[in-house]
Amino acid sequence: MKKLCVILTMAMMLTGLAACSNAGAESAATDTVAATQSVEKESAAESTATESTAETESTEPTVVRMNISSEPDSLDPWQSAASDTSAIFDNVFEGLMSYNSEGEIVPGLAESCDISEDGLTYTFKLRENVTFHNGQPFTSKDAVYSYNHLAGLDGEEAVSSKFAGVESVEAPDDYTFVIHMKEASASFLALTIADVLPEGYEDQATSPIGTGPYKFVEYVPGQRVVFEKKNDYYNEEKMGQIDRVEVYIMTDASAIVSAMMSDQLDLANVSVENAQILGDDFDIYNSPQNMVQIFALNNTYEPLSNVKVRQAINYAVNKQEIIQGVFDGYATELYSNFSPVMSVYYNDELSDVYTTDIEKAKSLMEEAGYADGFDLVIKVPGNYQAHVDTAQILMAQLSQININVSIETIEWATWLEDVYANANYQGTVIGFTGKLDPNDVLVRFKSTYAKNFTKYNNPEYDALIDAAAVEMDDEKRIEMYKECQKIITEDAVGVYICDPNLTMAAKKELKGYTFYPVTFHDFTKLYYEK
Amino acid sequence: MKENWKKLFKTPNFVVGFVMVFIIVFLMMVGFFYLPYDVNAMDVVNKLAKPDNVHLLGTDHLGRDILSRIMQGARISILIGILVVIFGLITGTLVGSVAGYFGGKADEIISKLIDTQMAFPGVLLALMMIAVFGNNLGNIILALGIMSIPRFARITRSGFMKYRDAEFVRASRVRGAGDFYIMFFHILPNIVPDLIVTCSLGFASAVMSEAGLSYLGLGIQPPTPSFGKMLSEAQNYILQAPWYVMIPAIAITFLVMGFNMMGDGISKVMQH
Amino acid sequence: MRYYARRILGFIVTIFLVSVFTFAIFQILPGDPATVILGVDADPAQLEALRASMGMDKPMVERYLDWVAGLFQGDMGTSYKYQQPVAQLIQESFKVTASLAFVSIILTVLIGLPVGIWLAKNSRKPVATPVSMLSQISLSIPAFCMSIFLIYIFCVKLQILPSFGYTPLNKGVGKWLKNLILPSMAIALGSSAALIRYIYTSINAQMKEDYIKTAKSKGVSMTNILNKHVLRNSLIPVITILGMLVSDILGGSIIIENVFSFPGIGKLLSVSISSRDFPLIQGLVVYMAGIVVLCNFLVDMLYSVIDPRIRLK
Repeated sequence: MKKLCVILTMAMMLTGLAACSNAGAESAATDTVAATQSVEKESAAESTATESTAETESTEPTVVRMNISSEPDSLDPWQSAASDTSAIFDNVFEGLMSYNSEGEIVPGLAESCDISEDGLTYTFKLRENVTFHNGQPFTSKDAVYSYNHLAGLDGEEAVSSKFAGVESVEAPDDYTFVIHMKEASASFLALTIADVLPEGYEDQATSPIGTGPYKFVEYVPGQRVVFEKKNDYYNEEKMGQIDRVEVYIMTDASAIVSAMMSDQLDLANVSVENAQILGDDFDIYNSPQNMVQIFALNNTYEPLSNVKVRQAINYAVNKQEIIQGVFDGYATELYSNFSPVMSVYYNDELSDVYTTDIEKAKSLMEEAGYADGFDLVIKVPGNYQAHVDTAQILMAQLSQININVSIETIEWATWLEDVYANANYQGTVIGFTGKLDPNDVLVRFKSTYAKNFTKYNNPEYDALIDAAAVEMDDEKRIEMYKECQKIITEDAVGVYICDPNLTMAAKKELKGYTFYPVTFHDFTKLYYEK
Repeated sequence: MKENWKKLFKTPNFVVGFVMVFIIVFLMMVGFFYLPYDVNAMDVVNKLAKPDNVHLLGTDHLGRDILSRIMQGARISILIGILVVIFGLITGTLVGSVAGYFGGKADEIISKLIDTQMAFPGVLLALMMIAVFGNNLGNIILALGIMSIPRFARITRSGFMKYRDAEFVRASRVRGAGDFYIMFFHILPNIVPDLIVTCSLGFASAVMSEAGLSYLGLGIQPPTPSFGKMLSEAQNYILQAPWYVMIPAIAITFLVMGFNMMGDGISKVMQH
Repeated sequence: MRYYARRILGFIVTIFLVSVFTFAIFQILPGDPATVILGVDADPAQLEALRASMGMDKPMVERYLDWVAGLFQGDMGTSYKYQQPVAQLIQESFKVTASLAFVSIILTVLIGLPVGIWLAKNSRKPVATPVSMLSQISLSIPAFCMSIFLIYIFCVKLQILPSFGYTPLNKGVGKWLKNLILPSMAIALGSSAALIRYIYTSINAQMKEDYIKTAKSKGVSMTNILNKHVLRNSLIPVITILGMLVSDILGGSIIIENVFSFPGIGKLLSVSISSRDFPLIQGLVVYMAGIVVLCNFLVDMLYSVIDPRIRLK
C-alpha cells in the first residue's frame, strides 16, 4: 500500500513535469523520458486512487499527533525563513511549481510552465477549480499579487531579494500568468515554488490561508499547531487521508520518547539513540536529509589562511569516528559541501581527495611551517549537543597533529551574530539544512555572498558559480556545480563531515512517511493501515 | 569544642551527611594522584558501555570512562559550591547586616536592591556575565554567587533586626562600643547557626544551579567534566543507558544531601 | 494609607531598577532578534521587513524610552518573536504557571505540613531519621531527573497520566488537573522537603521558649501546648518560606516546563532570552518584580493576621 501510494503521487508529478516544456533542448529530452515512465505507471496508480478514496470514507476522524522542536518563526510564509516552519506549513501553502521527494521541480498551482527560448519569459498555465481555504477561487490575480509582492514591484519593499531578477508580471487571462525577467537565470524555476497567497487577505500572520491539502486551524504559542484536511482539495490524488494533524512543540528529547511510549504521539522526530529504544514497538524511518554538517574554518585567520594547514586538518580528521561516535553510524560521509541526496548535481569523484592520514597531515603542517602546531578555538552553539560532541572528537583528533583545540560553547543568538554574521571566530561546527537549488547550497562560499562566514575568497570559484546561475543548458550547469564542489574540496575551505540522517519513529499502524531533500513532513502521504 | 565534635558525630543526620560528602571528597582526592583513565580519552566503539570490571562505572556517550570523569568532575562541582558560598556569605552578610542593624534609609535601599535582584531572572544574569566576560569557570561562579546574595542578606537582615535592640547590645552601646564592634562581635555570633544552614543550602543550590546552567548549554566548557555537565550530557540517554544518567545524578544528590544533612546536624548541636 | 503609598512607590522603584538593568544587559549582549527568529536561511529583505515592522531598526535607547512611555499607558509592547502583545502572552502563560503554582503549593502544604509537624513531635524517636532523610533525598535530586522519573512511572509504565502539554481549566477540571499533577509533583517533592525543614526547626526553636516551659510546669499536656501555642507561633517562618516558594514557582521553572512541554512563564522566559526579544523580557521582568513585591506584601499581611502584635508600618 505504502509503495503504491508513493508511485501514485510520483506518477502524478511526472505527468505534470512532462507538460512543463523547457526551452533547453537537453532537458526537453529528459522530460520525454519521464513522460513515458509515467504512462507505464499510470495504470497502477489508478487502482490505488480508488483504494484511497474508499479509505477516506470511514466515519471516525483520523488524527496524527507529531512533534516539532521549535516554534514557527512566522505564520505568514513570506515572513518565514526557518526550515522547521516550512516543514509543516508546506502542507498549507503551494507555489506555482512544487517539488517531489526526488527534489525535482514539478508543477504545483500551475499545470504547466513554458519558458521562452531566451529564458526571459515564463508563461504559467494555471489550474482551474482551485480555491483558497476561505473559499476564494485561485486565479491569475492572486499570482500577480503574490509576485508583485515577492519582487517588490508594487512599490513596497520586496519580500525576498532573490526575486530581484523579475522585470514585470502580467495576467493575460484568469488562468494564464506571465513573468518577464531582466536576465535569464537557471535557478529561477526553482524559485517559483514560493508560496502564492490570496489577493487582499490581510491576516496571514494570525490565521494563514493557502491552497494546500491541509488547512491551518490554530497555533497556541509554546504548545501546538493544528491542521485539518481540506476536503475539497482540487487534486484527488494528492488529497490527504488523515483528517487532523496536531503538531506539538516539544524540545526535550526524553520527553518526546516518553510521549511516544505512552501513546501521546503517533509520529516523532527522534534522535538515533532514542530510535533504538523505540525500535521494537515502532516503525523507524531513517534517511539522509540533504544536510551538511561542516567543521567550518575561518579562512582569514592566521594559520588557517594557509591552504596546507586546512588540508592537513582534513587529513587528520577521521569522519567515520564522528559518524560512529555522534550519530551511531546513521550519517552519510561527505567529501564536499554537498549531500549525495541531490544525486543529479553530486560530484561522486571526491571521496579519495582526503583519506585519514596522520603522517601526510603532519608533513603538510611542517611544509606550512606549523610543525609545532598552534592553538585553535572552536565555537559551537551549546544547545546542539551533536555539534558539541563533534567538536570534542575533533579536539582529540587534531591533537595528533599538535593543534591544541579548545571548545567554547556559545548561545545560538551569539553564534548567529559573532560567527555567522561577523565571522569573529577561528573554527566552528554547524549543520546547514538542505536546499533544492544547488546554487543555494554552494553560494555560501562565494566571496561576495553576504553570509560567507568562512571568508573563503577565490575569484575562480566566484566566476564559476555566477556562470552556473545563468547557464540554461542543464548538462553544462550540472558539470559546473560539480566543478564548484571540487574546488572547495581541494581548497579545503573546511571539513565537510557528514549528512546526519533524519530519524522518524511512527506507530506501526501509521504508514507512508516520506522523506524529501528538504525538511518537509508531508501529511498527505500518511495513512493508517487497517 | 571537643565536646561539640563528639556531639556532632552522635547526631545521625550529621554522620550520614558526612559519609556522603566524604565519599565524594575521597574520590576527588584520589583523583589528584590517580585516575583509572584519561578523562578525555575517547573510544567511540565502546560508547555507553555498561559498568564492568574494565570501566567500573561504564563509559559515556563518547566512550570516556565515567568513573574518571566523576573523580575529576568532583573538583569543579565542589569548587563551584565552596566559592559561591564564600562569595554569597561575605557579600550577603555585609549587606544584610548593614540593612538590619541601621534600618531606615539604608534598609530601604538595600531591600529594594535585593527585591530587584530576586525579580531578575538568574539565567539572564548568567548569560550577561558570560557574554561580557567570556564563558569561564570564574564567571559562572560569580554569576551563581550574585544569585545567592539575597538568601544570605535576608537571613542576616532579619537576625540583625531581632538583636539590634536586645539587652546585651544596648549594654555594650552604653559602654561606648562602636557600631562595627557591636555588629560583628556581638550580634553576628548569634546568627551563626542560621548562617550555617544557609551555607549548606547555598552550597546545595550552587551545585544544582550549575547543573541547571549546563542543561541550558551555559555551563562549563567541554570536555572538562563537572557533575552538572555530565548530567546534562547524559540526559538524552536516560532510556538507553540509565546508569549513565544515574551516576552523576547520584553524585549530585550525595553532595547536596550530604551538605544539607551536615548543616542540619550542626545547627541542631548549636541550638542545644 | 501612607503605608500603601510607600509600598506602591517601592514597587515602582523596583520595576525601574530591573528594567534599567535589563536594558543595560541588552546593550552588551550580542545577538540580533531578527536573525535569531528567521535563522540562518533568512533573506536580507525578510530581515529588513521584520526589523521595520517590529521597530527593531530604531536605536536601543529610543526603543527603551518608547517602552517606558507605553508602560505608563498600560501597554507593554509587542513581542518580536511571537508578534503578539506582550501583555497577552504573559497573561496566557501566567494562567498556566499560576495553575501549576496553585496545585504544587497545595501538594507542598499537604505533604510538608503534616510531615514537618510529625517530625518535630517525634524527633527523638528512631523513625524520625529515615523520614527526614527521605525528605532530604527529594530535595537533592536534580529537577530534570525527578521529572523524568515521574514520567517514566506514571506515563510510560502505568500509562495513567499525560506526560506533556497543558489543558485550560475551561476544558474541564479533570483534564486540567491530569496535566498538572506530574509537573506539580516534581516541584512539590522538592519544595515540601524545604518546608519540612523550616517547620521542624521553627517548632524546635519555639519549644525552647520560656512560655512553653511555664505551660509545661503548669501541667498542660504536650499535645495541647503544641496545638494551642507552638503551631500558631511557628506559622510565621512557614509563611515566609511559602511566600518565597510561591514567588519562585510563579517565576517559572525553565527545566520543569521544558521537560513537560508546559507553555508557562519559564518557557516564555527562555524563549525570550534566546531570541533576544527585548519587549518580552522587559515585560517578564516587570511581571517578576510584581510577583516578588506582591508576595512580600501578602506575607506581611498574613503576619499581622496571625500575630496582631505585628503592625504594618
